[in-house]
Parts: sequence; structure tokens; C-alpha cells
Amino acid sequence: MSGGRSYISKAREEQQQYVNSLLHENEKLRAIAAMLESDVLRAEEQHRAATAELQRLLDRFEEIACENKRFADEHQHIEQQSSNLANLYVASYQLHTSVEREGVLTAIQEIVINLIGSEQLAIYERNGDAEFRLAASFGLDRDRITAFVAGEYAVEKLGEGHIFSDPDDRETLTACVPLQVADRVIGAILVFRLLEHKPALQPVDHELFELLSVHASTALYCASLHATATVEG
Amino acid sequence: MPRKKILLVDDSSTIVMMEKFILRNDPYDLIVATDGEEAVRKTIAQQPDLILLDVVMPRMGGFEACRLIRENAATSAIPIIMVTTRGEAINVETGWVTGCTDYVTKPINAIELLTKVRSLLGDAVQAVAK
Repeated sequence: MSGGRSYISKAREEQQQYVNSLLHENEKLRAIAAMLESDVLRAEEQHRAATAELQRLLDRFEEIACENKRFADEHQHIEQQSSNLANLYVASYQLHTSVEREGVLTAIQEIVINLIGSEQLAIYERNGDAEFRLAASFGLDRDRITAFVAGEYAVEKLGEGHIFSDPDDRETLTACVPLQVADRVIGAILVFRLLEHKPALQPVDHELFELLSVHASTALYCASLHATATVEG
Repeated sequence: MPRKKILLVDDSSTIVMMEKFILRNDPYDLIVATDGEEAVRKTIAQQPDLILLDVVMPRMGGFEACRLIRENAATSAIPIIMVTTRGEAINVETGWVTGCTDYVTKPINAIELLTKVRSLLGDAVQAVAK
């Protein structure tokens, strides 16, 4: 009987030890779970912060991309302006390089061909208030020029002293630029068809017409004064 | 690093002046020829890094000059940009056949020319940074 009690007591003791060890293990696992839970919370917090930082960086990236595009557009705009100014500078410089009439006429032709982009042009000079006399032409047959100038339309336009251009009329007259000295029309430049790859006149072309209207006429006027002085001298 | 050399070939002083003006801010040495014959001579003598070549010129035109430059082993690899008023397809085609590397049309668009020059000379970044 006492052997049986001792066995039960021993079994209980072992059971108690086992329970204790399980409780202890449970305690440890709870501690680990709590630690992991706290890790998860910290990780979630870090994730939220990283997501926010990522969003901030993405926003900043977009901002910089916009700024970059704005600078690129501005740079292109400045390059275009610089190019337009170069056109005007070169035209002005070339017009006043020579005091010989032929030199000035060549400069006018080169400006129209190379800077405006037309290989059909005619330059006229006016003798007093009389009709316009052909001074030089490029890429046109003479009959066409004479017939055109004899027409009232061009003469009428020239008499007004305004630059005339018709963007819709590429086959006949594209622009008519009066050459003026002190409000007096002393001649004209007629620009006919533009080059194949040039679809229309650009803003800088109109500025070139304005420049030609004043500077080409002054250059031609100086050339005629120079010629007179040379003959008299 | 030695400066890159560009040969400008055109019988029009207006175009030469325009090209010089466009390229003035980049670190290039510019040489000028006024016809095809002079262009071929100067190409052999000076070995430029790039040639801007007009098409219609007295004595020798641009297409013929381009062909001669390509035929000479000493100059055959030099890139050539044709600068022409003749933008029509047939003339562009002739340019490619004679061996030009690229082409621009007159009136010259400064941005287009600069981009092509910088790209061919491989110094776009330095040029922009400058």
C-alpha cells in the first residue's frame, strides 16, 4: 500500500515539475511574443516613416523634374532668342560691310536666301518718285518680274511704305519690303516663293524685314553717295 | 585636351559668319574654306574633327568635295554635316550617297546645328557645362 502511495506521490511531483516547466516555458514564450509584438509595432512605425519619406522624395523628384523642364524650356527659349539676335546681327553687319553698290546688293540677296530662306527675290530702286527699276534679282525669269512690277497691286503696296507679307500666298509674292530713307520709299525688296522645307515666315523673318527696310536702304543710299563722291573726286 | 577643329565651307560670307556666331561659345577652333577645292585641300592639310559643308559652291560643289574627302584614306573618317538650302528628299539622298554624316538646312537653326555638332564631336556635356 505504501509502495502505491509513494508511486502516486512521485507521479504528482513529476506532474507538478512538468506543469512548472510548462508554465516557465509559457512565460518565456509570452515574453518573446511581447518582444515580437513590440518589434512589429516598431517595424510598422519604421515602415510608415519610410513610406512617408519615399513619398516626400517622390514629390521632391517630381518638383525637380518640373523645375528641370522649366529650365530646359527657358534654355531653349534663350538659345532661340540668341539665334534670332545672331540673324539680326549678321544681317546688319553684312549690309554695312561694303560701300559698293554691288556689294550691298549681294549682301541683301544673301540675307534673303540664307537667313530668310527664299531663292526667288527681286530688288528694286526708285528713281525719284518715278517707277521702280529692277536692280538685282535671283531665281526669277525677267518677264515674270517685269510683269509683276508693272501690276498695280505691288506698286500700290510699295507706295504705302509698309512691309507686306501674305502667309497664304507661297506661289506668288510672300513679302514686299519697302526700302525707306527718312520716310521716303527709295526701293523695295520682293520676296517670292520660300524654300520647300520652310513652311511659313517666322517672327524673326518679320524682324529681318524691318531691319532690311531701314538698313538695306541706308546701305544702298550710302553706296550711291559713295559712287557720286568717287565720280566727282 | 586639344581643342576640336571645325572646317566651315561656304561661299557665302553671311553663312560663315552665322556659323561662327553660333559656335562662338563652344571650345572649337574654326577654319574657313570658300569652295569645294579649298575644302578638300584644307581637310587634308589640317585634319579637322568635323566639316560643315555647303552644297552649291563655285569651282567644286559640296557633293563632289564630300566624295573626294571620303575617298582619301587620311580623311575618310571625318564627319561631314551638309549645310544646304536644298532640303528636298532627292538632294538629301545624294548627300547620304556621297557619304555625308548628317545634314542641316538653311536658314540654319542654331539649336539644331549646335546639337548635331556637339553630338558628333562627343563633347555635348562639356560644352553645355561650360
